[in-house]
Amino acid sequence: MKVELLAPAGDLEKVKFALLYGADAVYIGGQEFSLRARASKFSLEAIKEAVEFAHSINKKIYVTTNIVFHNDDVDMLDDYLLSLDKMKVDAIICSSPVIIDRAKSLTNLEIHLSTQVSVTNSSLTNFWADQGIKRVVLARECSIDEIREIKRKARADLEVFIHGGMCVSYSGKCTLSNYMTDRDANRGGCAHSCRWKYNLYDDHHLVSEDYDFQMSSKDLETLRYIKDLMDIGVASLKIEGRMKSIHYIATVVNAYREFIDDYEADALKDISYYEAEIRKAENRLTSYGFMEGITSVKQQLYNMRSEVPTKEFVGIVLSYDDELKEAIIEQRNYFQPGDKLEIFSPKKPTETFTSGPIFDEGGLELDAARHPLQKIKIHCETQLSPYDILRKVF
Amino acid sequence: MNIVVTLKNILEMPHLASLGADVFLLQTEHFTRNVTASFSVDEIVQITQKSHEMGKKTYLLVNIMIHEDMLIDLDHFISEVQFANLDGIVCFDFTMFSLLKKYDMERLMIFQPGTFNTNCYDAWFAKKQGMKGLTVSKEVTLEEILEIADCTQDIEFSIVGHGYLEMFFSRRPLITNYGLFKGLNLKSVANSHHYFLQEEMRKEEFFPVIEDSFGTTIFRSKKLLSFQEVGVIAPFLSDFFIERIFVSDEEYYESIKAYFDFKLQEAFLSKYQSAYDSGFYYRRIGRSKEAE
Repeated sequence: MKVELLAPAGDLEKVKFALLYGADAVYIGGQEFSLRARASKFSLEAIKEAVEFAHSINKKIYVTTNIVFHNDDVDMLDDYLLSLDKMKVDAIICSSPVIIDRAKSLTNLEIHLSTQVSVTNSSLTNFWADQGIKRVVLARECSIDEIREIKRKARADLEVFIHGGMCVSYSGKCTLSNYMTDRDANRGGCAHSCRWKYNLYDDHHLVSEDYDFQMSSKDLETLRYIKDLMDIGVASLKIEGRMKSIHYIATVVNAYREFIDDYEADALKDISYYEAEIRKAENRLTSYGFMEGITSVKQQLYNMRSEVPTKEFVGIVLSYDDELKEAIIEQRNYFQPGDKLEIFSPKKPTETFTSGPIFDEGGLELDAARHPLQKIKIHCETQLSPYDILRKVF
Repeated sequence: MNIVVTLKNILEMPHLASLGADVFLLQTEHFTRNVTASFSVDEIVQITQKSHEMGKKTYLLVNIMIHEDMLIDLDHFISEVQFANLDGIVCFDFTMFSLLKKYDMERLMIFQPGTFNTNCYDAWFAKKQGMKGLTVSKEVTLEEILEIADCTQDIEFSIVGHGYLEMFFSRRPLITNYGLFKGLNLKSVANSHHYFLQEEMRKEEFFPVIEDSFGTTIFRSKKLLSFQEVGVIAPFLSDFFIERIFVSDEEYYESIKAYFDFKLQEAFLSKYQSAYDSGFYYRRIGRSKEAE
């Protein structure tokens, strides 16, 4: 079975970019019943559109319905599940027995078990398989050896997180946010209290300095483990980050897509190539999480350090006139004539060109592209395509 | 309603029973985190037998996250305690269900995951599996507890109603890692009960934090108190757990007694009230949007 590359998307535009840049499937959050409230913008109509787009290119859409249900959340659940089934959503990702039971009773939806359940072994995997769960998303606390052993015994497909942010706590086992901010971490309200600054005391003795005790984790990045995960037979490799930008999603998805395809074609490049590709958009320090077992200092993020991506996302290609060799670009970040730009496309290797004059839609020449979402016109000898991304090369 | 108390040693049993304890909760040597006092299999057998002679019950606490490499050892442990005649096994990780079922012991399982068990369906699910009971989530309101209790008549229903409740559990050794990062010579980190965290914007609050071989657990800054609420909930409850962690023996004993004697509650409050609050009983935590 070919491994699936699964990407996040916080809106319809990101769905399209994730799929076009190499994801086999995308997971999205509905406006109801999904964690990550701010990233769960999909109305039923938008979900339908995402599904239709994905299916038109033989790809899949999964919908997260992974809140921890309280009694008053259950209203409208049946209608919601029936709607998802009717629009042929490929699977739901859930964590609560109520939704598993209702989905099984009422629909033909494929059911995946969310990482919120923190499955860390084959015994629990198989319990849920026997309950009708097709796929289990393993806890991010599992090491590569544990994943291998779980897969050897599992009767459900396995999905493993390979990239993105990490809860510091076991997922679903944290109520810091509830207690400190009255936001329910398990119902989409996480305030990320684990990323705040703390002092550490040993009895009454202050151990830390100026609130420098931090629990934050570096983001996950597992390029060096993808071969193992594929050899083990994991069904799906999952990228986290429904809140991330189009550029981030396209870049990270594309890098892992290339790695997977290259490995399958026995044509892997040096790993530094794929790492460099990811760094074009990655703005957080990364590490391999629990892949080698219990984490050390290397996996922690102290001093809230961040990274600067090596490339800056400056625009999206909306259209290209082959005769005039002119592209209409939707601007995202500042650039000016003379800047060296990189064409990042899902269809071909990256190329660079130097930006010539920039015009607005009315043909007025601009000294720079400085207004986000403004539609501008530039000349480019290289043929461009809609959904190509332009990056500024430093 | 049974009062469930954590046992520190076998000699303490008569005293706890005299205070009103109905169930002794035992922590294990290898499968309990944040241990106050652990017991070997032989001791578990002995204590269970003694508790039955006293007309009391004994539960076992298995509150770890069960990783793949623990399955064999845990299976062996269950095979050893299966003849102990335990009255219940309090489980944090649902993995325990399948492990117990192998020995026909799922009927002893009390599912106490901390954050799940938030609706009537969860109770129905537990009943359908043939478990003994479930403990309601620690972050639901009194109103929600009563709602869930109302639909759990076919299965034993319990709450952790008193003491320090945990609110975070990570596999990461967060104190050790911090010490290494800072080059500090932190002494006796493992299972030490004397570390606290203070958040930058909440300088009056101190959150107890424990690191052991299973990871790091952070607790609420205040202990939960249920003097006012227990009367309302008691008719629905099979078990009422009184947490012992970070609490002196004196305070623990006084708290147990106070749940039986209204007059003692006043004395208890005058002595300890500032360290307690009502948890989430009256805090409706909505599905609010993320801060970031």
